[in-house]
Amino acid sequence: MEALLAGAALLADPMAIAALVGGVLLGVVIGVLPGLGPAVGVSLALPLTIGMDQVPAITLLLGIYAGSIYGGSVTAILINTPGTPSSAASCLDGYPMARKGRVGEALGIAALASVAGGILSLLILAFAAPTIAQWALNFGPAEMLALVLFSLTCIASVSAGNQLKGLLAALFGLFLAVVGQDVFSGEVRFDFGVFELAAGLSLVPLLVGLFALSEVFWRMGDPARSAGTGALPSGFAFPRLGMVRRLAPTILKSGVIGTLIGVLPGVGPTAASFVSYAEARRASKTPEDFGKGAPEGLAASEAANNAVTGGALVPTLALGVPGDPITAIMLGALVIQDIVPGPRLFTQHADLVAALLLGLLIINLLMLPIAKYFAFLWRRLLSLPDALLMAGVVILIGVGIFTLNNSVLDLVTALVAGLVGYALRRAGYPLAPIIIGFVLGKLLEQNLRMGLIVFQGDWTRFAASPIAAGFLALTLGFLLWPPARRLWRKRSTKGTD
Amino acid sequence: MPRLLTATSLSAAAFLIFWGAMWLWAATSSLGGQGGQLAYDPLFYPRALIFLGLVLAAAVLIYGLWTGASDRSGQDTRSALMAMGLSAGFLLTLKPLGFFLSSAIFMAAFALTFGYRRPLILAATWVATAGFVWLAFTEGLRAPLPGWPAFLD
Repeated sequence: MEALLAGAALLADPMAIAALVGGVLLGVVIGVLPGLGPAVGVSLALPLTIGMDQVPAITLLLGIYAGSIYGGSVTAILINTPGTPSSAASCLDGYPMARKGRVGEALGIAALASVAGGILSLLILAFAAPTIAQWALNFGPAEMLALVLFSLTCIASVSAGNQLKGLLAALFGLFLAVVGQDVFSGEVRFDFGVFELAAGLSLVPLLVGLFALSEVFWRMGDPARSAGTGALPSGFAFPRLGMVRRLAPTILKSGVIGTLIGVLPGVGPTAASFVSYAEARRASKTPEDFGKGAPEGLAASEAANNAVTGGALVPTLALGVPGDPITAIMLGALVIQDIVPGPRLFTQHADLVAALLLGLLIINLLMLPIAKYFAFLWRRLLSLPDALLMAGVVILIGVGIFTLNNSVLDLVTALVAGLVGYALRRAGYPLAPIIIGFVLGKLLEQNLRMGLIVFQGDWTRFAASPIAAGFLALTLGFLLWPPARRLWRKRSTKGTD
Repeated sequence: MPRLLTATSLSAAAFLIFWGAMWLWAATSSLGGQGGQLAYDPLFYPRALIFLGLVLAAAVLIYGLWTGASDRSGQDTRSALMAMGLSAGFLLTLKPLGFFLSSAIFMAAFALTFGYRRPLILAATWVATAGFVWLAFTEGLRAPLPGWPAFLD
């Protein structure tokens, strides 16, 4: 209770309140714009947080995260184009509802389901994260190493593209974290005589370049880039009480599914929304209505994808291991703010955790009025062509990066990261494993080398504890499952021929 | 016969060159371990990553050559290159030209290059973007940002 009051006091700061409102608004704007998802939004805002205090910085990023996931549904409903991949399932019933003249109701259901899903996952986060953190207090280097390896393998294996490319991308990220001073010996590695590299590669330019700048290049290279949409239907209506009652079981179930999927590394909101959609359809008495404008379909998708935000924060806060690229960026932001996520966060910074949870609650509650009163803004933004929007994004990137340290090297780093990110996307490599590898690289190396010291060079002791052995077995399973499945499918196809 | 020069095989070759160069740097580096223990060797962990990187890049190369997986990104390379060139121009002139001049030139060049021909909306968008960014960073966050070219200060 004491921590909760202290957390509320931290949130009462005008800067924190402004960050909360601004974050949700910015997040919804980013989510509305097709192609600019939460990862781009959070990485774009990262430079802004450098000069902020801890609570406003984190609440700004959380607001963008949650807001952009909801924002994706607006374009899914209005123009049948998901603003973010996680809203793809919302097109299935949201757009047909709009075509039937139920735009306002569809937008209202999406907002309500997003808010409910977000709050449900927040409750689970508030109870699960401290419990997991308490359990993880006993983790030694072997358990941490196995956990990091498990997360990286999961993310690399389930990322878009093939598994080999995902693993290579994760390895590339891990290697980028090696550049700079070695914490054990104090020696500088892979600096190539460049003085600035002795401190290591800077997270913010790397992130912004890799996600945001490469997205600009990708969008402009897309022959189907937007020249701006014409007049769009308008309106926003809160669903009636009867409809809320009807949707409540679907929202509740989808929220739980979304939270659980969010906890798993690498699976993410897109999978959550489709799994929940499929479950809602399976459980429905009128499954034939799905795809033709069933409110349950829209509610299931939106409740689940927003619930992922709370779920993904469970491993990030409790273990210091992010579940997706967005929480990896947030983990980086926490570290920049001198907050070390992990088991001790809950005991050493209980007030901060309370502020974060309360902030997330307010963010979710804010989404409803913002969705209602700023609906005109989304329509205006969607009418702008990509040529103007992307130019604005580049300007924001340039200024954000430059003002970090007044350094041209940071701008060059972001540019190179953007070019590399574009080239890798072009060749079918997922970008998420790079950033997660970069963020987890130091943790992996420290635990590996610390373990070798503690275990006196005995490698078998890394798998001696049941927890470490369990995570290592799961890692091996994730590595071997895709090729084994392919082989099995090939054989079964040959068998039927 | 599958195509040899695909995005997959070229990227794998680029990775092989990258990891090879890192291996060379590590091999010629004077950094050494302390007391002969693996854990204290600053190059033990990066060498392990480089080795795995070489193995994986070779595997991707073989996969790319074997399947001849073609580039299905549907990207227009020329447009993407133009966006890269213009963005690089803005990022590299931000400091010498100052925020207002570099952003105005960039936004106009970007919009015109990609076929936008409505000067009034373009100007209004620049004023809104530049005004918001300037206020947010210099007034809101007190971040130093050069407004105009250095020679005008």
